[in-house]
Order: sequence, then C-alpha cells, then structure tokens
Amino acid sequence: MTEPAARAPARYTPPEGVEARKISPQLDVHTGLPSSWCPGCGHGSVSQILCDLVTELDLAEKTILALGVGCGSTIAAQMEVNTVLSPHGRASDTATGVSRMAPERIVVQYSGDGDACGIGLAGLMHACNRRENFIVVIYNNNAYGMTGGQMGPTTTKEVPTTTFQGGRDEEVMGYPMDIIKTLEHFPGVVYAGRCALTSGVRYREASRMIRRAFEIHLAGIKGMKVIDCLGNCNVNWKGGGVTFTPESSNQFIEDQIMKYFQMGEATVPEGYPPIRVR
Amino acid sequence: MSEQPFVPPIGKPTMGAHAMGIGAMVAGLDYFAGYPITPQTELLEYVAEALPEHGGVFQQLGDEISSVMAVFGAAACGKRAMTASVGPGLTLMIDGLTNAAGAETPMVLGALTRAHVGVSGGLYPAQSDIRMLRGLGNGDYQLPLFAPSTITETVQLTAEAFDVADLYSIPAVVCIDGKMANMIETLQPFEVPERDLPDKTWALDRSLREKRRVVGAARTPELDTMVCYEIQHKLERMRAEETRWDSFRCDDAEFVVVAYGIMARIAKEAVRNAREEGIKVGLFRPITLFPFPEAPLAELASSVREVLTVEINFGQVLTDVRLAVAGRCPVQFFGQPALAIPARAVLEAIRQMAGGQPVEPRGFHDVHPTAFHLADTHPPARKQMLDQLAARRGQEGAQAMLDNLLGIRKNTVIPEVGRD
Repeated sequence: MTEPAARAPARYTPPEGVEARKISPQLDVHTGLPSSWCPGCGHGSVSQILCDLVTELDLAEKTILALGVGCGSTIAAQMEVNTVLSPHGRASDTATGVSRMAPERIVVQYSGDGDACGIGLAGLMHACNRRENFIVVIYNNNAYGMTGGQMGPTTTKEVPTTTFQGGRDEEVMGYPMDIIKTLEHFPGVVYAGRCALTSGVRYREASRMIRRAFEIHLAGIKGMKVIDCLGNCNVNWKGGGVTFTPESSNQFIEDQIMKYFQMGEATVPEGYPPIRVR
Repeated sequence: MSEQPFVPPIGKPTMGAHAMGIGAMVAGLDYFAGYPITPQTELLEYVAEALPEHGGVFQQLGDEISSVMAVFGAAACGKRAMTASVGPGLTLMIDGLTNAAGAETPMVLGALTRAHVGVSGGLYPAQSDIRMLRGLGNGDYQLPLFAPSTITETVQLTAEAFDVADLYSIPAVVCIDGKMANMIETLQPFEVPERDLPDKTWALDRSLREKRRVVGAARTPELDTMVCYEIQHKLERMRAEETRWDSFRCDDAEFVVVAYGIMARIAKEAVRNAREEGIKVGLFRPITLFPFPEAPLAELASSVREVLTVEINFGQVLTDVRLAVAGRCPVQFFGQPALAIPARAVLEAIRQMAGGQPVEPRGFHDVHPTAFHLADTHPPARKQMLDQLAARRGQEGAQAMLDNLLGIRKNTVIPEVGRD
C-alpha cells in the first residue's frame, strides 16, 4: 500500500560537492520527488506550504492526509505522511471517520474545488454542521484540472473551459459558488478564510492562513478549519482559443476572478489577531 | 476501546435487526455510521445506545455514501467499523464498498433486504438484493456474504464477519431480509471461534517513523493490476477456507431443496412435512452465498434426482445452484418477488417435483391474495387498480398488465368492468 514509495525514483540528492545538511531533528515530510503538476500550477505552492509547515512544527507523525480524487491528490507523492485515499468527493466523509477514530491526530483534507464544492459538497457541509475536527484546504482553480479543464461549480464567468468555451453560461449553469460564504456561518466552522497563490506576497498570506488553521487546531479549538486557496489552471483554461501562461493566469485571477470572491479571513476564533490580506 | 465488556443478552427475546448490532458489539465494534431506512432503523437505534456505553463512536451522517466512507476512514485507522442499510441505501453504499475492497480495508456491512425495484413502496421482505450484494460496484471483485437464518446465527455470523474481514482485509457483508430483521427469537448461547488475526500494520494510526502508511485504492496501473491479482488470490483462499453450508436430512435424499436465510427455515418445515408423507427430500442451506458451497452441492447433486431452489426473488442464487449442479440433475425454481413463501406452498412444490412434474410458478394471486381476489371479483376495486396502472401505462397497457397478472391463475373468469 505504500504506493508513492513503491514507484519512486531516488530522493533528491544534492549536486556533487554539496553536503546534504539536516537542519533539524524533525521528520522531514518533503519527499523531494518531482511532482506531476503542470509548470506554474499553484498546487505546488500549497504542497510546499503544507510540507514546510508540518516539518517545521514537527507534526509529521501527527498529521494524516485525507485525499479525494483530482490533481490535488497527487500531493501524496510530495508529502510523506500517513495518507488515506478516498473516492472522488468523499474526502470529508473519510476524514470524519479517521478524525473520530484517531482524535489525537491532525487530519488534513486536501481537495480541489470539484472534489470539495462539487461532488463532495454535501459531505463537506454535513461535516461542518456536525462540527468535525479537521482542517480542509481547498485548491480552487475554477476548473476540473485532471480531466482537462471542464467547468466546475466555482468557475467564474470569465474563465474559458472546455464545456463552456465562451465562459460560464449563467442561464444554464447559474453562478460561481463561494464556498467560504457558504460555510462561514456554520457554528461548527471555527476558522474560514480565502487566500490566493498568485504572487510571492499572496504566497506568504496563504502560508500564514494555513499556519493559523494549524495553530487553532493545536490550541484544541474543536471544529472545522476551512481555507479556500485561489489558484490557476493555466494549462487547462483553454476554451474558445484563449490560452494562458502561468504569469497571465495569475494576473487573470487578480483582475477577473477576485471580483467574485471575498479575500481574507471570514471566521476567526476569539483572541486571534486578523491576518492582513491585500 | 471497550470500557466494560459487552455481554450479549443470552436467553432474552432478541430482534433480528438488534442481533446484527449485538454481533458487532461482541466483535468489539469501535465505530458505526449510518443513515435511517426501514427496517434498519432498529439496528441504528440499538447501536446508538449500546456503542457509546462501551467506548465506541456512533454517528448518524448525511447519507449512506457519507456513512460508508466514514466507516472506511475509521477502518483505515485499524478500528472495527460497521454500517448497515437497505436496498436503495445499499445501492449508494456500493461506492464505498468497491473502494474499501480496492483499498483492502476490512469493514462490515449489514444488509437488510426488502422488495423493490428502485425506490418503491414495496416494504415487504424479500431476498431481492443478493445479486447486487455479491457483485457490488465497479471492478473485478466479490465480497464474503453471510446469510444467517436464525437470530442467534445472525449474532454469531456478524461477529465472525469482523474476523473474516480482518483476516482477508476485505469488507464482509451479512445479509438478512426484512422479515428476519423484525422477527423476535430467544437468543441462544453461541460461540465465535478464536482466530489468529493478522496485525494491522497498514493502519493509519501507526507511527510514521517506522514506515509511511497509505490506505486507499491503487492509483497507479501497475499497483492496480497487482491488487486485482491479490483480490483473486484472497477469493481463492476464501473459497477454500470460508465456505459454509448446512444440510438437513440429505443423507438418503432423492430430492433436495436449496434455500437460505428466512426461506431456509420455512423450507425446513416443508421438508419435514414431506418426509412424513414419505417423500425422500432434504434441505441444503448455503450459509455463505459467497463463497458459494459449490463442491458439496455438486456432490449432493450427483446422488439425487432433482434440485429445487426456493428464494424470495426470481432466482438470484439459482445461477450458482445451476453452476454447481452442472447438469448432474434437473434444477427447478420456486420463488416470488416479495413476502416469505408459506411452508405449505413449498410442500406443494416438493410434491410436484417428486411427482415428476414441473413446479407451478407463484403468481400475483399467491403474493397478494386479497388484492387479487378484490380485482378478480369486485368491479370497483378492479377499476381502482386499473386507474393506478393506467397512470403508469395508459389505459390499454394497464388492461394488458392486469390481464397478465390475473390470467396466471388458470381458469380465472375475469368479469367485465363498468357493466352491471
């Protein structure tokens, strides 16, 4: 069952002459394997934030990743912690069972927007309603990436997708779903916020917010911690002949997608100073 | 996780649905998640009370899919976890079961079956989900399927199902029909054999320092193929080790009735009565519907004149019986889509078989005699039935459907409707 390890090439080895240096006695969760994400994709950034954080806080042994299906689930190859793989959209349900049976662990659900807000919305909302105790990190790239860029529930009007090439048809498909607005008022949600992965500054904001979710969890505040990370799908936003580069897609998020989504923290427990977001 | 040991209520009147919960508690249940559906609710209520008292966690989740996936998550932590549902709920739970089978995660599913196609008002007991329970979901696999026929056996087999699941790292299914679920019997003393169970070294709650654990269906082609072979290997082992059956007066039998679950105990009564009449008939009762007791039935088939399969469906285990018998003797079928077939009807079928005749099939008039009688003799009732059917089929179709149903009984005179 150690799937990523079974087919893994050797770990990253430093170039000759450079000595590998262990910076701390903590378990390092970075596998150092090449990722399968497309160049410029924000999944790599979230993966980096999570790996850095779990290693730095020495939570490797405590963390359990709960993954659904989507580009995001290949984080299993980047982050070496105990992992449970569930079918598409069922990560919240699986995380419920895991966190109930291993309450001393930190369960982190990492899902895409399709996984969490499409097929898995009922499970996620019920988990929030039941005040389950785990962290949900959603990589919201406004599309189904693994299947090649179809429209998703969060897709905004301007994003070209393969199923709605001229952008979201509001007559047929309604409006982009704001998952943080949907969940922030549940009493079972103790921390909810939105960040983006479009620039270095945004990266630091995202990093702080995810760290905050872990801090709240470690402080013993029970409830759901939900973070929605806006990111690009520069390769798959390609409907109607429009193409993107990583840079232009990030600019596109800033210019077009953020019109629809409130950035920053929405729900914060008492006593935690707000994290400033541009 | 038990705080105080669970003591099964031996000697007390026990309901079939509760029996599943008792069996699970005997096995040391840690986690149960479910969603209410008739007639599983009694089980849900029982576990909701009993499990937290003994240190476990009971949850009622948003739907059956969530329930089965949460049970998968709990099982991934190496805990003993169970869910249970009925027809339409089982259909949803297949999502989680195929995943758990692919992930080689042990868990137990309680299946309580009732009559329906789709989600209908047919809450009558039936054995209509056996085919679904054996070949659940996508992928090339089967699950061990237990079909107890008494309340005590339900407790015992549910408890054992946890061991079988652990031993083969696969979900196990225990199936009773709606009639048994609501039936009350005195719980007899029973024994769950001690088994040498493997250590769950793959469980998520083990330390990362030893080794990383990944629980889940294979996500690479090579590993997936390996898992497919591994599942087949397990099924082979199960066929050799876990096949169970029971027989009653088969030693000198010339005819054999094959029945399981609730139908087996009714058929037993019919076999007894037939024996009194001098018909040399025996009962063969598969206890595991997968692995199916093929070899013993084949052996029996080579020494008898004929086999009669009795089920509360239109022949879902019949295929296995035919494959096992493999032409050694003729196989006849006797069944109806809902409600237990009375012993006297089974006796009549045995008489027909022993007399060298084809067994007369059960018709609508056998399952719903009152409705049939009314439709047959009472014009307003017949008109009401026609109107109901017409909403689905149109006037002509309704007339044809009713004629078909009523016409099964021979020499039936159907009165004209609307005259008089």
